[in-house]
Amino acid sequence: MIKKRSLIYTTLRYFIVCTVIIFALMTPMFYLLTRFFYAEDLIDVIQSVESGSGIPPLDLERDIMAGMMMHFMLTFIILSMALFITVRFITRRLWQPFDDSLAKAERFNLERNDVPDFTKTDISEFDRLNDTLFRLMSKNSDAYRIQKEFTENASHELQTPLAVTRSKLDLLMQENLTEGQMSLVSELYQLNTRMGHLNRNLLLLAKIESAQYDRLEKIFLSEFVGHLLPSYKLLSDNCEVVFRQTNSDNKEVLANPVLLECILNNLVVNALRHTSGGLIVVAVENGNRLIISNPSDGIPLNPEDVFRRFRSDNSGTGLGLAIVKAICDFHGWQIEYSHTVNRHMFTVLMA
Amino acid sequence: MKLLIVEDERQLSDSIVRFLGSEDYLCEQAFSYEQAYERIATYEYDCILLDLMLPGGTGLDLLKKIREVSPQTGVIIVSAKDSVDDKVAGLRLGADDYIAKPFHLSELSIRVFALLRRKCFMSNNVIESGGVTVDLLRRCVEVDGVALDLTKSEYEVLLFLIENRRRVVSKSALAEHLSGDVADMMDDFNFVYAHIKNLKAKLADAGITACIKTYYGVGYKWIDE
Repeated sequence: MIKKRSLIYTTLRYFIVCTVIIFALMTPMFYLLTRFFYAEDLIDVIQSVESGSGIPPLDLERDIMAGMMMHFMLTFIILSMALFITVRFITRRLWQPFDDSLAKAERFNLERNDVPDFTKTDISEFDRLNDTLFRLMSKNSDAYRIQKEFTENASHELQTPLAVTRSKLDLLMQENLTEGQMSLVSELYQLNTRMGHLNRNLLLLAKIESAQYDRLEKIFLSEFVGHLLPSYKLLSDNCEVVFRQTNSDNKEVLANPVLLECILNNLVVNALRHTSGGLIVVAVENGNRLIISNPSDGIPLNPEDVFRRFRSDNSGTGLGLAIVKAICDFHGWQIEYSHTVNRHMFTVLMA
Repeated sequence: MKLLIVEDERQLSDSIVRFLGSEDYLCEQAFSYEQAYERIATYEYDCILLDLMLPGGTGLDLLKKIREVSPQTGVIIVSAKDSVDDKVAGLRLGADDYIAKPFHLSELSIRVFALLRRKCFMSNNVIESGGVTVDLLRRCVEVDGVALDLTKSEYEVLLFLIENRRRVVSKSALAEHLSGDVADMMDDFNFVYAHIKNLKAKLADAGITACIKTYYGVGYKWIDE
């Protein structure tokens, strides 16, 4: 067990040691100073007395003052040097564990769940800091994991009752119902469908965040988009979906195909849902930039809120764009929302 | 046709039995791994609906057993675990199809139907209903010997309705059948309405007017008599 000392104590110790060493090194200086400045008159006096020529004229007052000043100067210089060395070199060494901990704390990533091992140190304050950091990080990490697991488990558990409810509604629909009863069933059905979507999306989000889709493949983006396009055309009864590509040199992007399809689905369906007529453009530029744009009514969305959960309008599940963002974060891609000439535009840069 | 439904959620199992029972299927139920194991070892089935998460064991082990004792049995995996890995593992072990919970009973019904048709060589690849003839191999539709010119989606809608004849099929079941996961994100299914409208018009041109009944807001039903 290393004996723990406080920071002040250790600094002071180093300072004193430093001062003593410098004083020791400066001893010849002191000797010379005393020998040729202070004691010089005294030597003169002794020599003249020995040779019998009497005491030479002396200005003691001036000599004492000058000598004192020089001593002061020298002591001041030595102390300054000691202080400078302590601060400049010793302190850096002394604070090194702190810098180390700080760097580790900065690199800490909650999602990757990698609580760092802090290096042991004999400075008590830093030791306490490390302990506290470690405890906080571990706790945070646990809370995050539990929250993720909870979402995932809750979604799993909800799927069965949702499936049962839907099956009962399917059966109920087969009965001879009046128009009023039928419309009640229809409303329940819609609610069930919506709950199902919400649940699936929550589950998907939890899975993305816990990196369960870690299999990456090299994919030709424009080819991939081209394959999916027909299914979007099927969905659009009042607007047109067109595909454009520019500069399509055969560049590949590294992505999980399931998640990439999910990004496209979410962005295109999102555009479809908010377009009552007009052109939806899906574009691939340079083989790694995906742009999806749709006509707007001239009012841009709030870019702060676009990708936050449950922040968009209440027509969808409010999770679509949050999922898109999570997938981009997972791959380390940039996603941006912009609004130009009456068009909403989402740009994903798969660098 | 003999079916075994392996599903630990009794209510869901009952619903499936009731929905499929109205066809000519004889449905039996198993609610746990042991029950299912016993039944699979003792009896022979044409089709088995298999939940993957069961009390007492996993459905994937049952699947291995099924493949051992009767390789010709059709197996559809029904599971809440809609992760890709499970799907791949199931299909690799020899399952014939996979459907994720929550599903529409009408979708399950046509999957079972299609599987039985494939497995049992019901050489009949032509479905006839209400004056409409669907050739499943050539994927074409005829009315009184005259071919109808249907788009791919209209063909799918028609087949879905006919295979679920005399049952109300919900709009969202149709939407999901047509576009899979993408439909999951739409909040209205107006595109289904558009396809139905076109289909109805084409059928009406061929002289068939009363086959598709609309239940406003809920869905559609194919009436064949």
